[in-house]
Amino acid sequence: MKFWKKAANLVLRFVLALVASGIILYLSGYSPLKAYKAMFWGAISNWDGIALSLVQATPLIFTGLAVAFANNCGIFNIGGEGQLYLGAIAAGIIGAFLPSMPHFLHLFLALAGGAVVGGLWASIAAWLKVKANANEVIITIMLNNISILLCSYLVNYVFKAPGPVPQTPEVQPSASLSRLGTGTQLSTALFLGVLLVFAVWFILYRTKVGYEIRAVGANPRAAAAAGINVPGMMTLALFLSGSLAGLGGASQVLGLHGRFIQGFSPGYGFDGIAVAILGGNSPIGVLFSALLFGLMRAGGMVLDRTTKIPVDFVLIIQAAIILFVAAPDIFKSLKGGVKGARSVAK
Amino acid sequence: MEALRMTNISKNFGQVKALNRAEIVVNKGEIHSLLGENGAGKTTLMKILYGIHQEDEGQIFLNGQKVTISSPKEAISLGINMVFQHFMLIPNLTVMENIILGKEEAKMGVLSYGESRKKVMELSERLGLKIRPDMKVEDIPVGEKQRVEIIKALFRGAEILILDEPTAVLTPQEVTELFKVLKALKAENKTIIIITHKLKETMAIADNVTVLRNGKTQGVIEAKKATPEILAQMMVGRSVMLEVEKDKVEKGQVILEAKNLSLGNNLKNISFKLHEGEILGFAGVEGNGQTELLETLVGLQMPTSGDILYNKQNIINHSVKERLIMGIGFIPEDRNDRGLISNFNIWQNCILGYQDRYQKNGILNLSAIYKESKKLVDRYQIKTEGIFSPTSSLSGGNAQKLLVGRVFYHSPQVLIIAHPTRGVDVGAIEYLHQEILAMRAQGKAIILVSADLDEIKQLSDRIAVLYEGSIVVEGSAHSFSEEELGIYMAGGALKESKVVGS
Amino acid sequence: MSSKKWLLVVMVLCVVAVGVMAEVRVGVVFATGGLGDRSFNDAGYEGIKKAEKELGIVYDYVEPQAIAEFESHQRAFAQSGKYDLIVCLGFDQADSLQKVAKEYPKQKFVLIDSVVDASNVASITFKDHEKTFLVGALAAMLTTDTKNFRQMNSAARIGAIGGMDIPLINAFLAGYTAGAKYINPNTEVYKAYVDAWNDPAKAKELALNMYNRGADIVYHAAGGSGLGIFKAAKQVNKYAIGTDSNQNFIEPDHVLLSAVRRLDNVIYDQIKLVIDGKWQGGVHNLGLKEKALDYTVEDSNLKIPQEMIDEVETLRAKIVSGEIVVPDKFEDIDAFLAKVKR
Repeated sequence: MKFWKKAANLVLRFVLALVASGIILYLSGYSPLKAYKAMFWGAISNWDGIALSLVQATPLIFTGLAVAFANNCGIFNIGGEGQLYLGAIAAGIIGAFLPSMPHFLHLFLALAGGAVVGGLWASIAAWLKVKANANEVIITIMLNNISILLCSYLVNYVFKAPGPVPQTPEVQPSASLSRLGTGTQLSTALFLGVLLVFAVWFILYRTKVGYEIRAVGANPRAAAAAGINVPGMMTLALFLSGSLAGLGGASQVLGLHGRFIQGFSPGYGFDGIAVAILGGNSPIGVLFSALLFGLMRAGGMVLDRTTKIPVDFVLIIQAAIILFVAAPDIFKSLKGGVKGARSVAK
Repeated sequence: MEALRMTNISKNFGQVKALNRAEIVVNKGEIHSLLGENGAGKTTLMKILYGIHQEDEGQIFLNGQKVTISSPKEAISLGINMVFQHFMLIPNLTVMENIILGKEEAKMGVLSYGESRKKVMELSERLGLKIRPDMKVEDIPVGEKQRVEIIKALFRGAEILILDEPTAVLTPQEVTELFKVLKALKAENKTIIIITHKLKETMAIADNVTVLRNGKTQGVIEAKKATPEILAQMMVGRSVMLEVEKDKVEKGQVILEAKNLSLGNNLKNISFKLHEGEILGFAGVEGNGQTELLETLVGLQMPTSGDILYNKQNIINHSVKERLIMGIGFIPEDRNDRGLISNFNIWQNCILGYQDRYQKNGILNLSAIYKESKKLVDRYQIKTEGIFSPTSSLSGGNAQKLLVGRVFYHSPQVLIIAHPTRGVDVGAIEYLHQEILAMRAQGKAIILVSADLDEIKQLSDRIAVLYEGSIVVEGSAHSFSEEELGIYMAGGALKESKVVGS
Repeated sequence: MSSKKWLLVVMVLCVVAVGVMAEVRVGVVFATGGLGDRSFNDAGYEGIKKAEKELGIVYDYVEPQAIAEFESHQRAFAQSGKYDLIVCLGFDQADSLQKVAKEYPKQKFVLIDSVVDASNVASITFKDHEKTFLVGALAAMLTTDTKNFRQMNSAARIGAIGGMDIPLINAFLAGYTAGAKYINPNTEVYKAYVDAWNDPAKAKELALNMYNRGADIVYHAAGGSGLGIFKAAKQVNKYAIGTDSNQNFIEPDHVLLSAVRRLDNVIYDQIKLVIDGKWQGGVHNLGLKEKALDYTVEDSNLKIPQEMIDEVETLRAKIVSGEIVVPDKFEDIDAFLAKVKR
């Protein structure tokens, strides 16, 4: 009953978003119905569209999980973008520069490298929060800039592929997440993402560590009084959160691009925040909201390609959907997050 | 003469029926006690009178005239004023500024306090409401803040004054002072309504008592004709044992010992010994080091100096968790702050702190958890739809039972208990007291902190009084009168330290 | 019906039929900055529109938001089989085009700013350092011209802001620096990077910083971010130089000139080659000599003295003839200067 009420509420908000952006479209002299048809029908009516939606959703599963995981510990990890970048470049370097070795070992090393580097990067914020009571929101934002610039340096000067383009050499086949056929961008990265959804679910809801992480997130003072190592759990949660974002970057590199390219992310790490909050910070919810976001992005691409409607309207429609569907929850969660951030537990 | 009549007042908050045809009749110039357990609807009824809530149905009559009150502003203009449990003063303004706020007089745009100030000071003297008009509110003690609120209400021309749980934050001496003021107001023909759940107070001050239960008026009784037992029965709906029977328990070994514990300015040289089968009560006005003492004992705070011995072993460097595993159970002072996790469901709160006992290789053993949680909920009579219900759905009393039950269920050796019955209804208080005494009978050692002197006196074998971080006196429970304890709690005229029994 | 009328009908039908058959359709995949950058993408779009007007082509375009979208757009255009030519702008499309060009070997592609080694791809690169050399030389002359420009100071200081610290952009900046130092070896050239193609706010801050440090003229190679540099120039009443397409009209009282790629010409030419059946894949590295690059003072209200223009034109001739070989890397500038000064 409660579920249906919530679902109906979501649908209503979705429709409101379409109405609002429809008015803008109409006033600008475009047909909203044509636009929506191109956008949504194009993204689900054929296999190419569905595959495209899944491709677009894949990185958001990872970054959404990353944000959701930290949120479960009461930490607002806004640094997913930076962690994603570092995970991506780590995987790109391991994938391209290590000597040849068996497929699974090489792939494992590249993925693990991405996860560990992303995790360690996030741990810097955890360390500063625990040691100096620094606000993790500010720290992770700052770390984003540092990380992206660091990657820029690495890809331009240290690990650059020959040629004018700022990118690393191609990842060896032994480290690639193989594509699901030619003519599609879909790769096994999608399966990795879905696997992680269930792994995260298991950790959060079936293990002692997950229980303690959620206890810290829900009430750090009560967790401390119950003997839970609050700083320890926060550090662990941020590490794992960063690892998830790092894996997201790694999977983009190993599955989609085949190498690290400067500027490969249009803000997957930030979109992860909206994805996580729309998904109610639950892993399963993240999966579905990532799929919705992927569908929206794919629909936007179809709209851009098949109509003369300027791409700016795609962004308006997407923004309206986020605003109406996710923003109420985002604000609620931000308020909670700030409160949580203030009460750093003793 | 009838000053106020509220009839057939109903009020729903969503699905919850807060008031169901409640009634109250108050005469002019009387002190009227509105008595009931938490959640009975007392405050809601008065907030309707004060214009904060609007009734769904029912009528309000003032001096026989039917009125509708849609905002506090209207209520004030009708001579109704309310002093809340949490004071509504602006901390960085002075006492005088706070009192005349909203009624400032200005001469050519410049505030002038002349007339108002004279009026306020005159009120203060006549009624014995001692205030310091030029102190900032943030610098004055709680009791004075309350006096400021009362003067403010009178200054605005209050004829009917509503006080919400006015004694909750006061020392016994301050309570006596307050009662004197209320009597002086009564002498001036003001009408006073006190919202309370304390029987003793009601008996001491009220002329008439209206008892609410579950949003319904249970009856009106003249205070002279009432007894605490009658009132309690009206409140709870069944007969309640107000005095707990304490069996004699043989004192055992010393199990916990504090040696010269200090923590900054909050704790100064605290030493005590706690035996098995003994309850050591710490009395004191809140904010005199109780929180710090308990948190130091369980390991949440590191003392600047001193030692804590548990079974003769120094545990000063042990973590909260290590102490918990050794057998030190902790019931923190605020169940919503450090006690329970409100957006966890009940089974998740049942294992909080004890999750290590319900796991194998890091994976939670859910079937065992569910089984034990059900047992816990049954054993401690927690009224709930089931262990999967959200903890936030529990009433205050049942939430407290869950907190206490969780610790008791996992059989600790030493219990550190703070305010076990705060904000809990009479029936639950009785139950919780019995459970605490049952633990004592099993030979557990118990430290008890409470703001409720009666509770401390009834349960404790020995009492220590904390004042500004020091133990000013310690002795066996029956060696103190309530008066004496009050004096020690206030920083004490009885300067000579007295150690009795032990 | 008279035979004349019949003839007319037949003629009309023929024209329509020819029109339908000859209608050339072009697909464009823009770079992630999108249209409205008044720079790279807009310059390319000019060429498309010119072809529409003069050659009667029709076109569809997409403005991708992320690198990950290129491949899907390229493939969708190719898959439809409707397009005679697919134009891809920007170096970051190379990887995906490598794959897609292989999947559709009969589809013709043009790739701007990078190289894909396939017979069905015309890869077009520019010797951008040649045009920035001319612009840098002009900037070095202008920055000490306190007579004609009241806002110039006597210090030989100029600035250059790049979109990203990458070889492609560094070639722009290296040419600019070399040109300035060729004129006056003591010219100080500040440089900075926005690290984004669409962050004018940050670019503005970087430019303001340079103006505060005494630079009179700031050049940019920063795509859409460059608009912020013009705002900065207006705010402190200094000068700027535009890039890629003619940007002089944006702030005509502050933008002295623009170093332009005639991307419009290049793309127009490619489309024309397709229509004429003379199109060929392969790598085309274009410079001043091929008239693929230029600078322009049109639409600016500021008047550059003729003798300076003359001097720059001599430099252009020397580059076209091969007498001057402009360096495209910072590390080569010193050697270049030593060589030309002898």
